[in-house]
Amino acid sequence: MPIKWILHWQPNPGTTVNSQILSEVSQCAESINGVKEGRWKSTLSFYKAMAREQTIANDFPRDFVGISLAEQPNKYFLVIRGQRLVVEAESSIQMIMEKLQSYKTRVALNFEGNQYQLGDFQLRVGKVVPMHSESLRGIVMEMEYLPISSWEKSHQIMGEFFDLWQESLSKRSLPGHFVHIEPNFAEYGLADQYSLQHTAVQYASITAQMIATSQSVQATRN
Amino acid sequence: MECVVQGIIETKHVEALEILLQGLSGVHRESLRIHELCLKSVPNLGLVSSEVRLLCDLEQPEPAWTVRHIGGAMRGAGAEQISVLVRTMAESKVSKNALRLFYALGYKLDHELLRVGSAFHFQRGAQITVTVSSINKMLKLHATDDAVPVTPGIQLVEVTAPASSENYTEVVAAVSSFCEYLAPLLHLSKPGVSTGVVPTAAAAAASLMSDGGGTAL
Repeated sequence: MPIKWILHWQPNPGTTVNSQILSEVSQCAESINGVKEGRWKSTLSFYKAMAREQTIANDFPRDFVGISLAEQPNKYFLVIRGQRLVVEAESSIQMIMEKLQSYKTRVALNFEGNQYQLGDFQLRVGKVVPMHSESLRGIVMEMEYLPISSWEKSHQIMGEFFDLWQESLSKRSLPGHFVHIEPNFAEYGLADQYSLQHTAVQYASITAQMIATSQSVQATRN
Repeated sequence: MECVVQGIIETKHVEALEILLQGLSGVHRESLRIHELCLKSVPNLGLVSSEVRLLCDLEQPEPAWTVRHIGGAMRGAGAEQISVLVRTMAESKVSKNALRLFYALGYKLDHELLRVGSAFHFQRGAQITVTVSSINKMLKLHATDDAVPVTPGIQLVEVTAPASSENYTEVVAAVSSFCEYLAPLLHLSKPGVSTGVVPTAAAAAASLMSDGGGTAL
């Protein structure tokens, strides 16, 4: 499976993400000869423990998420970030979780947008919106390099492409930049060979980042 | 959803049963070795307590894990009439971390067992699976190499078939009709409805063993 970096938009302090930025990012992909190929959509749901007493609720993981990925809709990924756990399952696991009634999903995020082909690279630009809402919460990008499956081996070429991308984007003077944070895949028991589980872990990771960023913005405001 | 019936048979008659099953189904036996872990939610998790099973197929080159949730049985006068249990059931293949995940979510091991025996998968009016297995308990936690039968000399036979709310009556009919062929050797009924071994079993088994199942029972 080709390796993939997932990036998220970090707004400059005092600014927020908006659809103008999203539009500029998409235009940038097209300006470097990205050929628009189609739409994509992945979803992340937050699972919350149903505890009989509120005080006990903290005994259970608060970073438990379920992820459905665009490239494999019949699979579902469960991640508990704090415990460095990722489980790959069939999409029927969602029904099992529903029947158990021990955890419920109330909030979910959609990551969706357009996909572009750029030689050996595939780029996806996506908005982050809560399900059943149109309010933009963030922007993500997927950078996939088709020829290589090894995380280690791909590092240099991905880094170079990332720098190229950042440079093209910087010409538009946008109030923010894309960030790439590499989770420690080994801690999750994942090998160097890239897989959908790696993607799920990256999504859980950037979501946590985006939440932390927006919470700190809120705190500054308050 | 699934349809289920169960019965017991003495271990000495298992070979005869397998000959009969092979003859009726047209398929060969597959080896069965499944480590089943039954997990229960800790107190305070969920408004009601919940149970989930993790099954590890030890016959595969790499242990293959499945999560299974067994739900309530169909109720009402209609359900009472039929001799087959119809219940909700959901399952999913999972990667090997599933046990750690459920522990992290607040599930504890309630009990575990090892099923060893054979399975027959075939189509006969419905997608039917028959398993014939000894149920074994482990003397030490997760020690599948160190397991002893819970009921020595007796094996459990289970007939299951997936069903939906649209087709369960047909599936029930297919399962019931198939079970009739097994009647000389064992009596199958809803799980929880206890039956013993069948008095004709010895004679039926002898007949099967002597001519390899060529004679109709």
